[in-house]
Amino acid sequence: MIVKFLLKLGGVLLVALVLGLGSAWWLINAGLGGALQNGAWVTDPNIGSEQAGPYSRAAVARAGLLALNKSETIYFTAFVDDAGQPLSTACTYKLVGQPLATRWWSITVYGADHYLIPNSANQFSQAMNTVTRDDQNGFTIFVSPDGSQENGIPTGFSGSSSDTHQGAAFSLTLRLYNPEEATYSNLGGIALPTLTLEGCQ
Amino acid sequence: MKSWPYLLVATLILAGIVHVGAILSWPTFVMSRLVGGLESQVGFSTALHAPRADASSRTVVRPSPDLIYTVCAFDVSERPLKISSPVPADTYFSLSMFGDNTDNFFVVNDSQLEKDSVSVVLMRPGSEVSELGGAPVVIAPSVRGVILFRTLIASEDRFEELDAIRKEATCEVM
Repeated sequence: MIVKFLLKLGGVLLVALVLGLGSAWWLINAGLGGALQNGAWVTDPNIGSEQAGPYSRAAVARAGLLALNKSETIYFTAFVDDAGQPLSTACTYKLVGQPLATRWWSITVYGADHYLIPNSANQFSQAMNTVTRDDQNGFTIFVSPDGSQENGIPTGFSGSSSDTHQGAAFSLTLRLYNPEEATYSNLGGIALPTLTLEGCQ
Repeated sequence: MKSWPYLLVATLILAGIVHVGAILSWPTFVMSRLVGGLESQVGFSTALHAPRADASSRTVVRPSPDLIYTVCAFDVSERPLKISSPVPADTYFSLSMFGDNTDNFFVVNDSQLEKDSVSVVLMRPGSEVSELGGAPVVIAPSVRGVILFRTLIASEDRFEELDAIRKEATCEVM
């Protein structure tokens, strides 16, 4: 009788631990954003803020530690392209952007582990002060395995045996430093770079 | 009497408690690990000038390779801290502070500063200090946390100059 009770109690505790920790980890890894979407980009306006809820704080701790609040910097993240397909290091993506109403911006590529991806060029980002712009002050950035195009950022995929055949998941972060009020008060409506798939290896 | 409905309810209630506990404790766990790591590297109230971020950078997730960072771990449980730095010209610079729950409770950037340097005092609520030296006071919501100086590498040919300036940042116990 006692053994049976202890077995049931142990089962309850084990399943509760798995369910509780698993669901928490899944939500933490759901990442920054989700609260607000703009094209392929997602953000959480409460990042870094004292008004942030427990889930926002947990997501910041996992994927955006030491992030600034939105009046100082806005962080948009893209895990998928404009068609909703997950980003893959084996593919080439074209980002087309118009001038952004902010003091400075950058777009950085991160691996699934949230760190910079090793590549032979040591090129991890493009930014307002590095990108070549067109006559209308807009810009086109290519994110591709070797990053060889103009304004390119490599994902480091080589197709070698150490790479998975389909490539690995990655994400992009768009940072807007000292955004104008028109930007941070309309995060869902401002024109952000489009993100389209050009092809895969 | 069947016991499985009671077991199911107990399991779900316990799972909910574990879930909430994990979500609430994760930010403070991660911050305490970061603060502890800085303490073991350089100690509290000492500026650590991190090398420019690259693929080998593993201390903080999603670093920006376009910025250079200087960081201090703080503990104001006993004494306030004076934080100072020169402000580089013609580029983005900010001084920010983070509590033990990840909140960014203070930030000031170069465009908001009138001088070519910044100096603030960080203290816990109710802390007493006799000499502030005219520096503005920031009240920390937690006794431990992190101070971060960001400097934008405006151009590659300015890297040496900006790197030298940011290394003058200090965090000193008063």
